[in-house]
Amino acid sequence: MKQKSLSDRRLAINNLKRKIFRTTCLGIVVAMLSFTLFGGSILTASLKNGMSSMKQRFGADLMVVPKGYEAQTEGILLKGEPKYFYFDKSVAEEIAKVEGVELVTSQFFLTSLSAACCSTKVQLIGFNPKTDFVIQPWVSKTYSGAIGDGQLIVGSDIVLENNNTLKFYGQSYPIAAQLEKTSTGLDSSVFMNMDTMQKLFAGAKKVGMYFLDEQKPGSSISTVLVKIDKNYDAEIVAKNIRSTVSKVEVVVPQKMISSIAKNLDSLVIYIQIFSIVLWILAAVILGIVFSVTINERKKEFAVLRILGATRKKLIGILLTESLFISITGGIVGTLIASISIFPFSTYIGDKLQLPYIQPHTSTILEILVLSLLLSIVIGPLTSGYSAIKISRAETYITMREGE
Amino acid sequence: MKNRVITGVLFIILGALIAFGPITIFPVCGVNATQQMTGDEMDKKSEKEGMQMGDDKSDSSKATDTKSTMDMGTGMVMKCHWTANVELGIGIIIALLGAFIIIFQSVQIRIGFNIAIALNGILALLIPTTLIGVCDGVHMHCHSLTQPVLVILSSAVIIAAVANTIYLFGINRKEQVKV
Repeated sequence: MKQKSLSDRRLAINNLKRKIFRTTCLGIVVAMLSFTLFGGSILTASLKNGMSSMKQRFGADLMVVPKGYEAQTEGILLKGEPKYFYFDKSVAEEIAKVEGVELVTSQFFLTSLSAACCSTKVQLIGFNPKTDFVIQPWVSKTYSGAIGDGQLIVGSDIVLENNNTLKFYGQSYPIAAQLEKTSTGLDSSVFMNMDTMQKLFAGAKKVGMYFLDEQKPGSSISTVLVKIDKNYDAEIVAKNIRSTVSKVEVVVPQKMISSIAKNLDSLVIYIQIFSIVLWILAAVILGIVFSVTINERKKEFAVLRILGATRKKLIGILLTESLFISITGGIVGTLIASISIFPFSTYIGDKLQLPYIQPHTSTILEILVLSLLLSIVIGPLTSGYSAIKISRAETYITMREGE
Repeated sequence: MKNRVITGVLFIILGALIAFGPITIFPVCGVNATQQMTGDEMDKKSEKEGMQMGDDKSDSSKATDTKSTMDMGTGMVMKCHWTANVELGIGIIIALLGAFIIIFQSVQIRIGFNIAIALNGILALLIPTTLIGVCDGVHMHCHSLTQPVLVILSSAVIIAAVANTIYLFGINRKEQVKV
């Protein structure tokens, strides 16, 4: 029979196999730690990613809407709740004259009926390509050409039909581009120019929908988006607009974002504190367990010393044992965290009601390496002291102990 | 004995989760008419009901009320409902085969059961992803929760069954060598 050398690795594996319950329990502690570190970091990175995307996407400094529709506007922007409301087109001209206003562009809102593409109602947004400074810079990231008449630009959550078209009010419209995910309500919106909106509006009327005479894309609008002069404060310009133009309400997106950011920051801090506390706790638990078990195994190590094992070999065996536990626990914890987080990113985002976009692969890999490193290093780190202590013990005294 | 009990109980749990999960713990969207209707059907329906749009809040709420009535009224069944029904059948079969693994001692019979479980696992995986699918909307419950859970559970069934089959083949070979 082939003889196998008693290397550190072989001895460590055999020791771990012999005490399977203890090994499993220690592995579970490390797995919980790596689960929290990796899962918490991915969650934090996704929330931060979502927040920065949201900040980038609200290209306008102010949104002017009919009085009483602020909450509905927030619903459209944050949750993608389809709504429609109108005021006269002349409001845009009035706003353009207000002090501190640099650029204005108007949009027309309409909601679809439940469509085959999307299963639920979607927000239809008509914009003016000549004056627009909000949609087009965003569109240019995925589509370089101009948006032609009859073409649609759709948010990332819209499911396209097989022939790359969408059907609204009995008519099919080709899709020019699908936008990147923003983690805002705009992900479930459909964008088009005003000419296309007029066709769609006519289609809606044709199928029996009723609108007031003054409500049509040519003469009414739903919102005026404002870019303010750099030298002015958004709140002051909003106040100017409220005092100059009647029956309008001004939504300040940055203010809206800052309240979300506050919630998000507290959640991120909570996750980070929890991860740090758990790391310290895991280190303390592992340190105590290793110390106690190594103490119990004094005579086993004394026998090894008598058989010729050096002090270095004893330290090597103990560190290898703790390293195996840490590696296994770390990998298992990270794997469970990956299975629990990545397939459910949409669900987690929906439940948190916060902007949530999964980070890029490179960021995920960075987090993975860091979490694994922190989980793996904890074993040898906590067992190191006990290992050195036991290696220095006098073999003869240890063997005679308890006699 | 140990292998029989552990794998048997594992398959019973996984089978039960596949069978009853989509109707209890991680439910599908259920029967909902509007979400399954095509654009044409929807347009025709709205034509009949003479839905109105306007700029005041009362009109808006009217539209919402009409929608909810349509949801309740048409009685069309969503895709995910059928997925849940089929998974109920497949899950029960996996759980039963798991129980048989505990009952039968013969290694060769258990290899057969494991192969059957692996094949059922593949079917359980294909139902929500390819063969029937779930609703298209990414934020719908069946799409964001039920489908990924079913994919994970069926993958676990396949991996466990294949691993156990390989393990049992090894045991079977050893037993034959002894004989």
